[in-house]
Amino acid sequence: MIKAFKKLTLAQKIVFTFVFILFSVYAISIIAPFVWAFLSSLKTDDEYYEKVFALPKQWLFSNYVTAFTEFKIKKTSMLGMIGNSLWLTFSGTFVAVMVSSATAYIVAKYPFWGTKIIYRVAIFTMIIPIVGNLPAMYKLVVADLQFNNPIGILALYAGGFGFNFIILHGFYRSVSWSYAEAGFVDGATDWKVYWRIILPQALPAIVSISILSCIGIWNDYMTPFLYLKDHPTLALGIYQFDIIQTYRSNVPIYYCAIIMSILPILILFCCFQETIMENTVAGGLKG
Amino acid sequence: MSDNLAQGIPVKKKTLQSRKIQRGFFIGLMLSVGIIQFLVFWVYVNFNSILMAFQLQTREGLIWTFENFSRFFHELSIADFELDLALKNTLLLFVVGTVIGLPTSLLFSYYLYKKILFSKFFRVIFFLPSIISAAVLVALFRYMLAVDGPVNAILSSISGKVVDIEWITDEAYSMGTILFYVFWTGFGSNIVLFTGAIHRIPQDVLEYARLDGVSMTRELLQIIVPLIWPTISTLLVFATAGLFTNSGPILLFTQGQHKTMTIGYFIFDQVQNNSYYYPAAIGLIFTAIGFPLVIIVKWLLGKILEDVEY
Repeated sequence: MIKAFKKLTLAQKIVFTFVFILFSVYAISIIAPFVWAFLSSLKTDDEYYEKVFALPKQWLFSNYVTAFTEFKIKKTSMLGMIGNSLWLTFSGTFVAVMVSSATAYIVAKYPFWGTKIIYRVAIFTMIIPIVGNLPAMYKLVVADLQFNNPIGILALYAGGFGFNFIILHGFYRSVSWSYAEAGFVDGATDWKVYWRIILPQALPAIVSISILSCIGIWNDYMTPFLYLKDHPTLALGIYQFDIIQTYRSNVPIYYCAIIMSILPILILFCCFQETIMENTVAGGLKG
Repeated sequence: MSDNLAQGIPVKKKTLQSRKIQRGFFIGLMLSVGIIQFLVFWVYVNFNSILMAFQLQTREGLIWTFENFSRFFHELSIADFELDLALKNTLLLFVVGTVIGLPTSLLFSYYLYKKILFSKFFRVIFFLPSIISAAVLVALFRYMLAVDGPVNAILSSISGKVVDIEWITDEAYSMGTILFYVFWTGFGSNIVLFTGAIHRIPQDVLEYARLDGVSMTRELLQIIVPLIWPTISTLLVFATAGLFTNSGPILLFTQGQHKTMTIGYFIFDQVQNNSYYYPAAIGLIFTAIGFPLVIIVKWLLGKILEDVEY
């Protein structure tokens, strides 16, 4: 790399050095708040206010234990919020991936007049910019269906024609049909072929969209804010805790919650870095 | 494909028929959940949303009216309702996030591709804001920008004077702070998409250009941009589609106070206050503006450069 740098012209060297400094500053500005949050989570409350930049005098890992009893939104404790987050993340992802997989498989492998329409509609609905259907949605979910509870809300995740559909459709279209044919010859039903032959082959694709879906739901504060006010998730709790606290007491506890909420994401990211980055599609993560 | 099982296998007519019924049953069941969900939460919701725009809840019950629309145009002209401000802020978010943000991400991606020192490390770090909850990012941002927080402390020590700017609650700074946040945290997924697209360009094309002594500016603008045009135009179309829907992180920062209202948040706020019919009308108005806009942008982007294949 240094050899390549020496080959550049002077003007290019200046540009590269400048960009490198810019990148470093930007990278530090991203990492620093997290380091700062981690250090703050280990301080006493007084220390936090008095010495903003100092290292904690004693590294109070006990703050994390305190957080479990003191970080509360109404009746929900930290443990409750983690539970709510886990439930929503895993069941929401399961429902979303299973429904999209089923629709994508049929549209890709059982073509008939309906599948063409379905595919067109799926693409169309993704580009059409519908503004403000929230009132109608909110009215339907809360007033008419009363789905604003941890079970009912799963219906919102059970969409079969979003980005997951597009990705899995592309995958199923390219998957070889010969194993399935062999299965049919041996007398397997369509169910058996789907569950025993196709799904195992699709596992890598399913795992990668599941990871993205998990990250999205774990981080989402909007859906719980609208529909699950009595069952706050960790992301919602972090938002609400800040609002509820008119006087800021024991801020380090708050940082403990922040650190705990990003820890699973960071671990997942470390394990599946390439999978996550490769599968990032336009709008797929922050949706 | 649906006749696969019939080919080459002697089957009795009767079993073939029952097989067909079974298959129809299978297809129907597999599609059922997705289609029902779509009919309820997309077709019904959007249809009802249009109806609601023309409805109003009065003491006599639900009435049909254009009241919601005239209310909107009336309130738009009165500064106190902040609708004109909301429109301005919404456009500002688009300008900062997309018009400035996308080219910046592209420039970042180009230098990452050029294998600047530690480029792999930078790529991973730059991606982090896209996978961490906005609730967390904004919380940290707010604490960093608190009156007695680190940012003011650093500014104080640099300037030698006491700096106690209220970055989030002072009207003079609040929207600027939010725009900065949107810009600063918005690169991640775009960089991943752009670097991915640049790496998929056949490398010999770039190699030839380099042998011909093409400058870096020309390499970026005249070779790379046209070759990754499909990625760029897709991102632009989606950004345009989200123009009025994207409320920005207003809920997390200010709940619309301190002159930070946006169209998306205005609708959200109305719903929170149990007003459903008026925001539905506002939504319909902006859908009517946004839909042709997306079509035009899509057409224009297709005109500028034809989709390339390689």
